[in-house]
Amino acid sequence: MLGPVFATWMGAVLTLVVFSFLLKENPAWRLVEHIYLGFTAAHAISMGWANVRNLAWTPITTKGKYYLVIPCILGLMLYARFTKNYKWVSRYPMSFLIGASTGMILKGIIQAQFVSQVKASMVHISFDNGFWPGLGNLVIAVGTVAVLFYFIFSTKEKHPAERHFRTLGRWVMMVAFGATFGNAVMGEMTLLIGRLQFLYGDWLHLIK
Amino acid sequence: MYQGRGFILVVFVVLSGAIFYRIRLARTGKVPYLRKLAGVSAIEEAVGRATELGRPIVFSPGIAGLGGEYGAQTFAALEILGYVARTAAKYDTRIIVGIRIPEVLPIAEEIVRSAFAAEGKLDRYNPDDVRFLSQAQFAYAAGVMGIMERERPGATFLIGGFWAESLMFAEVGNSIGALQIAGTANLHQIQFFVAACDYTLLGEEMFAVGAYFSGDPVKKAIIAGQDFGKIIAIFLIVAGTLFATFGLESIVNRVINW
Repeated sequence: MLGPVFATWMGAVLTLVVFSFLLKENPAWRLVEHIYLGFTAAHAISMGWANVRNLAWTPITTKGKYYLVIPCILGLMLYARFTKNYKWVSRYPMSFLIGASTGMILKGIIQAQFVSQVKASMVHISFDNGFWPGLGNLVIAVGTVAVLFYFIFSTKEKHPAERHFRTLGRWVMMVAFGATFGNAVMGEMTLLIGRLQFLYGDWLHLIK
Repeated sequence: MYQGRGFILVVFVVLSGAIFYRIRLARTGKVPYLRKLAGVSAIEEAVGRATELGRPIVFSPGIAGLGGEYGAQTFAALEILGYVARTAAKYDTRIIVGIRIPEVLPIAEEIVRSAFAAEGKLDRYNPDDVRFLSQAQFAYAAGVMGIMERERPGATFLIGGFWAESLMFAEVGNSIGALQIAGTANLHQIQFFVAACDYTLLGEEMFAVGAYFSGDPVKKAIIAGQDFGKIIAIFLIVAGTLFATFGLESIVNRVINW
């Protein structure tokens, strides 16, 4: 019974200390910051050990999956960076990591970040179904093209119209940022409300 | 059969071809022109301000790793780190780098060390100023915020892949009066940087600035090659919208779903 009560008190005190950062950086906050960093380091070591045991050692020794020795060797090679003469060895597993992960995403990235976006921007501009839907589609088409034009870096501005079109692209982005900022602030408020519910409900029992 | 494979293949071949072609041209000495972005001057100004105030610079290359979809942002951030570190070394200004991803640490260390060596000030390089903080997102955020509060930097650079911690960093930097330069290609976070920082590199501007600072013709060629991709996208959107507006959606769908 003492365990959950202790955990609640611990959570509440740590929450208040973290909130104290809003007033000023202070020793209590510093202590919590270091506890947090320490805990996550310990957690990472524990997870790392579990991964080595569950994903490598056990399958190799009990299931005969000897090919798993290769990633183990690559992993060990990363530690070579701590030696002066064999530092270069660590670059090989690093290259492998970057190359493999880049290759894996190539499969979906053109579909997700190019084709789907282009397809979504090909809209039917018509005022038959009302003025606002038609205007909305016009804004999508012109806005998308203007923003894309803003991000073309390798052409010289030969005509003032190019600068104006780039400025339009910038304005479109700013309007979009304003809208998403408001949306994101709402999300942040939800997190704050969650913490306040914990403090007033689970800890102080002032609300149910 | 999966629809649209043919179209994706064509786009892939054309985009890759454009990038390879520009790289080849750059290697023969035809380095593409890149327009100077306002962010370039802002970065120089921020380093200058920290130097004048006699305060350090805090640099965060974001929380993304080196591979995957977000890896390019980390590479662009490291490119900019190289320039910022070299300028800081030139003016004897301390630079503190907070790292989240373990694989980024040796690269960042090497970049900052090389920058100090290039300025002939290797003795001023402090390896402890390139710090691995934590792999956990919010522990890393707490670490960077703590560093900002304690070290009171004159300038902060928040450049790379950022997620929920972006506004935390930008707010703290703002409260301590640091000149803040931020940049990310994560669309859902740019608005926070725009609101709370002095200058924001919007999306691809970050990659262009990275290429601009590196001075590497190949990197500039990659940006120029990608520009070709954007021109294709503009063409497709305009053509697709016109076709759709005039009731020829079936043609657009047939092409895209090929």
